[in-house]
Amino acid sequence: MSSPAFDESDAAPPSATRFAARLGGVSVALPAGTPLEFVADATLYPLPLAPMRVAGLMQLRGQPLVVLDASPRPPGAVAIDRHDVLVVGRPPQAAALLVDGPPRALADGQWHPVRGTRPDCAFAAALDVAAPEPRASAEVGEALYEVDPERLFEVLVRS
Amino acid sequence: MASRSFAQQLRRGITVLAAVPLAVATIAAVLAWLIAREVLAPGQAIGIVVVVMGLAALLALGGFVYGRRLARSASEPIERIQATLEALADGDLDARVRWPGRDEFAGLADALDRLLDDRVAGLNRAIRESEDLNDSVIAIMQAVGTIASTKDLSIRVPVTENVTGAIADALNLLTEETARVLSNVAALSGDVAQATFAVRGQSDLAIQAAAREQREVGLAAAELARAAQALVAVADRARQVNESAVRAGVETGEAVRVVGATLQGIAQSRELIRETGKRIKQLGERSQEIGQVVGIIQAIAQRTGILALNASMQAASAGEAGRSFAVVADEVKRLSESARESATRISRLVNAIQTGTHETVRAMNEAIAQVVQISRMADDAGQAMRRTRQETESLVENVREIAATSEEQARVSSALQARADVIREASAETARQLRAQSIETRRLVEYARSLVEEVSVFRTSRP
Repeated sequence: MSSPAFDESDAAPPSATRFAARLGGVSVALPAGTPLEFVADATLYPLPLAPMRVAGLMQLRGQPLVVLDASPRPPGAVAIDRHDVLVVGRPPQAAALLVDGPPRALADGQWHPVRGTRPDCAFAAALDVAAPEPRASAEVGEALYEVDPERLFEVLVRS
Repeated sequence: MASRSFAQQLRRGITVLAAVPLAVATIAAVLAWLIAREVLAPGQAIGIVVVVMGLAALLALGGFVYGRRLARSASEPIERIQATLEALADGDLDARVRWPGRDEFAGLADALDRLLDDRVAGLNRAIRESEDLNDSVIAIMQAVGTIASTKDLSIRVPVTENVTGAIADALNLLTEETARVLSNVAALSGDVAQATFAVRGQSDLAIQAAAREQREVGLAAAELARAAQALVAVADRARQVNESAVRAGVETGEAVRVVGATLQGIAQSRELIRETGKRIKQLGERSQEIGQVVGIIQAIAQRTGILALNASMQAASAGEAGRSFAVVADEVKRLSESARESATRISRLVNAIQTGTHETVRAMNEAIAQVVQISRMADDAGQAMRRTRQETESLVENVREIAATSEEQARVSSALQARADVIREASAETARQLRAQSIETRRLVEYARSLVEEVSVFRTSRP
């Protein structure tokens, strides 16, 4: 049994420049250069007296990671039923974010940044919102907020 | 002589009259003997005879005188008695013999006078009683006449002490009884009048009822005629039904046999369906196992997709160096998506198979239940058909009897029709008699009214 010959030029998809994910109900675009890893059904261990945005700890190949929650949780709510996490960075300097489902790889032309408006969320300060263009042509693809992971972690920790 | 009784005198006279001839004869005999002995000479004898004859003549004279006197003593009182009786016969009730003396005629006259006194006194008493009786009878006649003229039954006949008193009592009793009876008769007449009115009313009602009865009898006769025709038709239909029932019995027997064969077929079908259901259930269990395997495949595809995603993210973070790895990651991603889509389709198919299996099992269970029900119904139908066959046989017999009975009833109905005609005639005759009775009843009413009027003329002491 022989497999067909692999033609890289024909089979190569357009390279992904962003990874789209939903954080706390907001669709964001993470840069492709950031080390990312998606873990489904991760087991979280809550931390007593942890800050509000710290959902708990998880382990990834033996390394403990802090899991942050960007969702607009009401004060006093401690139960977390979502276990899909997106690990940003490489352990042991990595951290994890609770996401609403697996991220998707996006190439250029498949998305466009949101302009003008900033969402009402805990990590709004971490979002890169472009200025609206006076002569804006028709945008193609999905509208996403660009976000810097390091700034996102910083804003979440401070919020 | 006056103190002697007439019988003594008569006996003495008779004795004297008998002694004279005897003495003469004795003297004659003595003279004859003496003459015969010649004791006496005839002359002497003649002298003696003359003497004796003289004595005899004297004796005869004395006897004549005595007899004359005796006859006069007997004839005078008898003549006095005869004269007295004649006077009595002439109406002289005071005439009496009143013969003095103490002989038998005096006793006879005295007895006759006393008898006459007694009889005259009795006659006078009878005359007085007769007069009283006449007065009583007149009073009774007057009272009866008053009653008859005035119709007043309260009037009483005077009651006397004589023999008419009993008659008056009897008449009074009769009058009282008659008054009582008339009162009763009056009351009864009133009752009779009322009853007669009622009878006339009843008679009128009876006439109306008889008329209705006559109409009803006519209608009944017509109905009987139609019933007779209907019974004849019923008899014909009963014969036809009898033939149909016989055919139905044969058909029912064939149906019972077919139902028995159907029951066997249904039992076989039930077993076959049960076996098929068992196999389909096993198939469903296998499909569940397939579903579990598909779940594993889906989990693998999902994890492969995640692996491809992480690989693509790692390739992207590696930059240009990870481009080839990104291609592999993308292929892996496509493979995982294909596997997931295939698993999803298989899962849908398995779900569809399971759903279909469940539906089929449920349908088969329902089919088994229906087959069981049908089998039970067929069994019931078979039993019902057997009962029907028995009932049909009984029906055949009953229909045969019904046919015979219908024919008999048709004959009886014809006879009843004839009787109904007779009854109709009798009813008409009854109506005629009732009309005649009504006429007589009206007359009876008039009679009762007349009777009341007649009785009402009598006045009684009773209210």
